[in-house]
Amino acid sequence: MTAAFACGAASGLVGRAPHRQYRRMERRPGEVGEELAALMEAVALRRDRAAFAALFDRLAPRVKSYLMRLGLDAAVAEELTQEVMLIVWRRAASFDPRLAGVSTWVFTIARNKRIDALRRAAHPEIERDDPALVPAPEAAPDERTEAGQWERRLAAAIAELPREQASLLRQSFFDDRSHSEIARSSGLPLGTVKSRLRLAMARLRQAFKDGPR
Amino acid sequence: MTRISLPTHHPAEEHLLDYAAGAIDPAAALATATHLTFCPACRDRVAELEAIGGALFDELPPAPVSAGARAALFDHLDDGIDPQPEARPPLPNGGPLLPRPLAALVGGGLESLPWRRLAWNVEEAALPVAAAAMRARLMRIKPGAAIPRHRHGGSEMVAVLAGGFVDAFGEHRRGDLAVHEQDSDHQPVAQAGEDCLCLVVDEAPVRLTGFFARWLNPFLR
Ligand SMILES: [Zn+2]
Repeated sequence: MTAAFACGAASGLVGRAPHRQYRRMERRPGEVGEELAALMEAVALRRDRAAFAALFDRLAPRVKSYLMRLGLDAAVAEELTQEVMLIVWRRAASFDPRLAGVSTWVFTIARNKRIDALRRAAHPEIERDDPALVPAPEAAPDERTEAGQWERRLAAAIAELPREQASLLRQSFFDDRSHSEIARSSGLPLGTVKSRLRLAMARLRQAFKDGPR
Repeated sequence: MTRISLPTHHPAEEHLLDYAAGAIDPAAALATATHLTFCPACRDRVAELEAIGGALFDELPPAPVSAGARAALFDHLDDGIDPQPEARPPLPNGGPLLPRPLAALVGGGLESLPWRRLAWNVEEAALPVAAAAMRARLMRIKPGAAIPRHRHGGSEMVAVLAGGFVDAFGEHRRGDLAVHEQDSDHQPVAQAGEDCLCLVVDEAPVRLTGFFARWLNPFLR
């Protein structure tokens, strides 16, 4: 499971302290998103360890929390968190703020790492250089906002969802249950689960559209 | 260059959500990824769903990472560069261009698969998907052949890779993904012209025994 990252928590080695401190990121969610993107850029362009330290301190505890929420014990979650953050460091240059926000990008890395570790199976990803890929038709005038800005709009929109809709979304992302398994385990009719999820998505979809926020 | 047509049959929102959340059977994930390769509209929807995952991820209560683990990682940041990207599986020769996750499973090409004949005009080849509870197989149907009317005990996903078929839900061509829920009843007919090649993912069948079992239609096997 740890073949990709051999050092592990138990090696007891002492790391270098970051040579520069970044401002702590206890600010409005929108600013956090932009600040994370700037840190990613510093890592990608200059291999900036202080920027990576700031990213680590913000993101690693959430990666660990995500993995534990999905049922991994703390030690395994911490080991996988290291692997996820090592990928963030190594692949920083492939992060594209037009396609996703930093939290989203890291979430997908953690999701894939979990599937990999638990099922020993890869999450089949779409690769942009796949010769079979059918590209989007001639770019229409884009009415969508830049992907990096979605997260802050979404956070606000999720907070306004009816409780039962928000709860279903959290179960989907954090309980490792498909929508039909959620229906089975909660005793809700499958049709009710589907319609609640679709209602939630219809509301949240507004967050991806341009316009005054 | 021929105009590439975009798919007209898409998975429902909740299926894409299962995929984006990583809460989907690996075989169903394969069928979904196959459709996504052909469908820019659904790729956009998945990107939106992943952003919802990102927003929820951001709200999680932080779980402190030990100082030792943090230090150990920082000590190893300069170790080796990214390991070599995984070897790209060679694209199978002959036959339609397959999406990469599927091409990786097909390996040496369509003809290298262990095809099994179900009827004179229909054959299938099982695809081994790691950790899948659902089963995945390729089906190849001769032009114009009809698959006998059948019911599904569980849900079924059919991704068209070449040729096409028609059933009560309409015409299905390369890139389309048909999702049939439990108990749906349909009778697909392959279109004329070329072989219809599909990736079919369904619930593993219940094994029936007894005298009548051998009379059951081979598609339920
Ligand atoms: Zn689609």
